[in-house]
Amino acid sequence: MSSAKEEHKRPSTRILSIGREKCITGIEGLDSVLGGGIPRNNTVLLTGNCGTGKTSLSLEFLLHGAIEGENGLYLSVTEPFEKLIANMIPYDFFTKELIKTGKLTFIDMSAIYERFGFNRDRMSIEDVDLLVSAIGDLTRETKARRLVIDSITSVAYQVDSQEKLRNLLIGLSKALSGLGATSLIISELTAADASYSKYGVEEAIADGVILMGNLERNGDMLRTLQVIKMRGTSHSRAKYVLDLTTAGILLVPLLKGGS
Amino acid sequence: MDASAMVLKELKDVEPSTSTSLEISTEVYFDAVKGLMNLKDESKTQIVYIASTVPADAIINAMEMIGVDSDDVKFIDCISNMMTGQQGKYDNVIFIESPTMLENIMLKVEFLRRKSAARRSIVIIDSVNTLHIHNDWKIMGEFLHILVNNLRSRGSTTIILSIKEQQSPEVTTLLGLVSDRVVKIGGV
Repeated sequence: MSSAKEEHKRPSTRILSIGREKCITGIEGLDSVLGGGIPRNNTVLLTGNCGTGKTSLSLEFLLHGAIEGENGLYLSVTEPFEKLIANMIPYDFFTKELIKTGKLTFIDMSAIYERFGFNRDRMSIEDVDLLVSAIGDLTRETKARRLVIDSITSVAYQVDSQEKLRNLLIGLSKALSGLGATSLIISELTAADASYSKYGVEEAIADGVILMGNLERNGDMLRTLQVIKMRGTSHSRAKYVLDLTTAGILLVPLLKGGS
Repeated sequence: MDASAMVLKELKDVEPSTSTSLEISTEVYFDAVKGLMNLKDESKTQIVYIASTVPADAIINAMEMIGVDSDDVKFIDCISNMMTGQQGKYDNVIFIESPTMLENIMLKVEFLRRKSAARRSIVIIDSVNTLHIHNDWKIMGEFLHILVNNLRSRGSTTIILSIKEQQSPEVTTLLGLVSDRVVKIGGV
C-alpha cells in the first residue's frame, strides 16, 4: 500500500521560485500566484468573509507541510478540534497518522487561556505578552514549521485596545519568525468591513495579506482569492476563482469578459 | 460511412496539445456524439465531456440504447442543475450550477485531471453554441483561450463541438482563434 507521501504529488517542481526561500503551500495554484510559495518565516493574514474557504486553505497548508515532513500547529479559538476534523473536506491525501505521529497538532486556545489563568474578557498588557510567549513555547515544543491561528479576530475580542492588539501581532510575528515558522493568521471580515482586517492593525503588521471573498456575478456566487501583499516575493495581484475539492484547493483566473 | 464512423476516423489519431473544432449539422448530432464516445477505446486517454446542449443523463441513456458504453467517460453537466436542481443517478457525472459559471467548468476539468491516472485527457465541449446562448462572446473567448491553452500545456486535447445551423459570426471567429484544425461532418 502506498503512503500518503508517495501519493502526494509535489507541485513545486513545476514552479519557478524567485527571491527568498519559499514555504511551498502545496496548493498548486496558490504557489504559482506567489512565485513559488510563501517566503519562509512570513506571518500572513488570511482574511475574508465567512464561507470563503479560509479554514480549508489553512488546513491544507498544514497537511501538505506535514506530508513533506514539516510539523504543523493549528490553534483554534472558534471550533473544538473534533468538530474541525469532522467537518474537514475528506482530502485524498489526509491520514490520521499525521496527527498520531505528531506531524499535525491541534490545540484549543481555551486550554491556553485556562492554563495561564487569563481573564478572557479583558486581557492586560502582561496577559498579551504571556499569550505570545505561550504560543511561542507551543511552537517550539511541537517543532512546528507551519502555524495557523484561527482566528485572530476572536483573540482580539479579548484585547480592548489597538495598542495591545498591535503588541500581540508584533510579538507573535517576531516570535514565530524567530522560531522559523511560517504562519497563517486568520481574520474574519463582515460585509460591512471596509479594510482587509477587522481592526485595521492586522494588515499593516502582517508580512502578507491573502484576501478571500464571495463574488456575485449575475446571480452566480463564486469563491475568490487575491494576494494583496506578500513581502519577499514577486506575486500576482489578480483575482482567482477557487474550488474546495477532495483533491485540494483548485484555482483558475477570474474571467473578466472584456470588463 | 456514417457520421459516427467519420468522427472516429477524423479524431482517433488527434495529436496531444492540440485543439480541434468539430462542426456538425443538427441531424447528425447523436451520431457525432456516438463517434466521440468511441474515442475512449481508440485513444486510451481520459475523456472529459462537457455537456451543455443536452443533460449528461440524456446522453448516457441515448448511448445505452444504441449499445455504446459511456461508463469510462467523465461528464461535466452544465444544465441539469439549472433546469431542475436535481442531481442525476450516475457516478461519472459532475454537476455545475449554471452554464454561466465558466470558471467552474475549468475547475472541474482540473479536478478530473487530478483524479485521473491517465497522463493526458481529451476534453470535449458540447457545444460552443449552447454556451454562447448563456454567455457573452467576450467572456466565451476568454474562457476558451484559457481552457484550451491550459490543456495544451498539459499535453491534453480539446475538441470543440459546434452546430452549423446555430453558428453566429462571433462563434466562427472564436473557433478560428482557438482551433488548430476544423473538421466538418454531416453536410456542412
